[in-house]
Amino acid sequence: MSTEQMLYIDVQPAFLQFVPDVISRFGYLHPGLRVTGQAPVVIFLNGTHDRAAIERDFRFCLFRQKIYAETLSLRSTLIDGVMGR
Amino acid sequence: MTVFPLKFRPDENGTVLFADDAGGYFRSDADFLDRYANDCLSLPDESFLKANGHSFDHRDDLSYAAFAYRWARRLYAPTPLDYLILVPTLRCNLACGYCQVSRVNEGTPGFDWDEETLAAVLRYVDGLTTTRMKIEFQGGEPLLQLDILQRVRSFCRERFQVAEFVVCTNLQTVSAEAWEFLAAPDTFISTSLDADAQTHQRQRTITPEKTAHFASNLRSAIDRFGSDKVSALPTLDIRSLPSPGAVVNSFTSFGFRSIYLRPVNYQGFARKRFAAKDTTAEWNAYHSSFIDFLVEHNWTAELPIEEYYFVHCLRRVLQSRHNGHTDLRNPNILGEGYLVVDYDGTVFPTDEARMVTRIGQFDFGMGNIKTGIDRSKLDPLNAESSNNFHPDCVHCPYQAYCGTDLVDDLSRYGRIDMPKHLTDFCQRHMHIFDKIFEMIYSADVKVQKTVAIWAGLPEFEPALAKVHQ
Repeated sequence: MSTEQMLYIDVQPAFLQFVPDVISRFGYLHPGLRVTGQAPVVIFLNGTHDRAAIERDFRFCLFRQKIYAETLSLRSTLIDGVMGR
Repeated sequence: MTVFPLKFRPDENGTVLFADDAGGYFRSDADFLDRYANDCLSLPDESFLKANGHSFDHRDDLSYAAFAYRWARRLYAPTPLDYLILVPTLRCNLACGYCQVSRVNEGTPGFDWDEETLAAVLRYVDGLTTTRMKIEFQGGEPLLQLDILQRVRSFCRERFQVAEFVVCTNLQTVSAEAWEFLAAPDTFISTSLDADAQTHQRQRTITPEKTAHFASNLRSAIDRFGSDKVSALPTLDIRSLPSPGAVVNSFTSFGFRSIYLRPVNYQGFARKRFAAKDTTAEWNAYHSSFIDFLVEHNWTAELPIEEYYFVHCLRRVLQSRHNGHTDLRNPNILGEGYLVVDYDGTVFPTDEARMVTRIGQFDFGMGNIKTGIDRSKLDPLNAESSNNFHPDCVHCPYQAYCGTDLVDDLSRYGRIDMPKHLTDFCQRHMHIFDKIFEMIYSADVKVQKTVAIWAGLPEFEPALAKVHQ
């Protein structure tokens, strides 16, 4: 019998556009976890997972993806300037 | 106001470290992270970020230009080639179990430079544009080819304004002529001292007589030339690690104050005898305990001790342009700043690449010194030599201080696209940088004293541990 539990994570509107990329990234970092949904995101856990840690990791992935996406243009401009391109 | 992108990493105490692409860093908390990620920075947040170079108002204002300048200085720009590792022979008079350099027995013919190879090396050296040259003689045991060493050194002394030579020798058998060669002020000795005498004998010399002979030669080298001209590296077997105290006592007994801890490397012939592939966590724990031991030691010791690579990484955090270690650069471009010439004239980008090629895993050969060097093979690797836009490193606060080692990735995993956090390189460096920031932000005066010593400061500078409340 499955002992799978579901962890629901609410996603603020400002982060919604990043959810698909974050699910990919989160799955890459936690290949044993199944993640689906959008708002809320649902993460399927088994009894061995630390719910608080998993939720924190997912939120950090959201933060990181938003920061990355919103600053990519700036970073690219900076590195082009630095490299003299 | 625009904030330069900040990468973050929480620690076990609930605080969060933030760092940017230019290496600026500070510690704050989860509330600040929330405000930053949600675009809700407070006025004090904005003031702090502006005052510490983490934001700008207009592109090309002073803050923007200064950040770009600091970022540029974090990047490694290869210099004209001024460093060669030469392997005039693979023959060796020891048979260490972990030998990383693929050696052959002392009497085996066919594993030395011939006259044609020597002439080709000197022609190549003569064609270099630099005015400074560093030559590292490796082997095998290079002192078995003393005549070649002498001829290379004489040529370089004539050819360059400044030339420096390092002989990587086991100091097992040193003839009178070899002692004379080593006595020159421009010539340095690098040898192996595997922790203590017991470990050294088990791993290298096998018999008490040979161990005593080595120790006597090492003592003679230091007595004759001083410890500034002699360095020694320990190679440690993770299955049988000596206590930090034993290592420190052994090295300080010879006057060494810098110890570069190295585990048996999962490359070359070592992989056949040592299961060193998946021992990163064990090594990190040992390394951490060693650093803690040094902190205690340095608190009362008249002469402080350092762990070389840890201090190198600390200085990469605290300053830019600290690119003296060839394994930790960003970008880490292969085949540019230095090369390796093997016993048969084959040219390699690094010594590790030579080992990987020797065991038949990958062919990193860049041609032969006699027939011409071909760098094109390295182009695909060099295209991946930067961590700036690596999909994992781009989220890592340590990215600006870290680097890449694609040869190590290929050696261990047969590929360069492993998830970074699963690689030995990443796990070792995450551990080191975690430890560095733990020490930088420590309130322990013992830790602060050692940080100051290793950073080259007269005393601990609180500005190193910037905090935003």
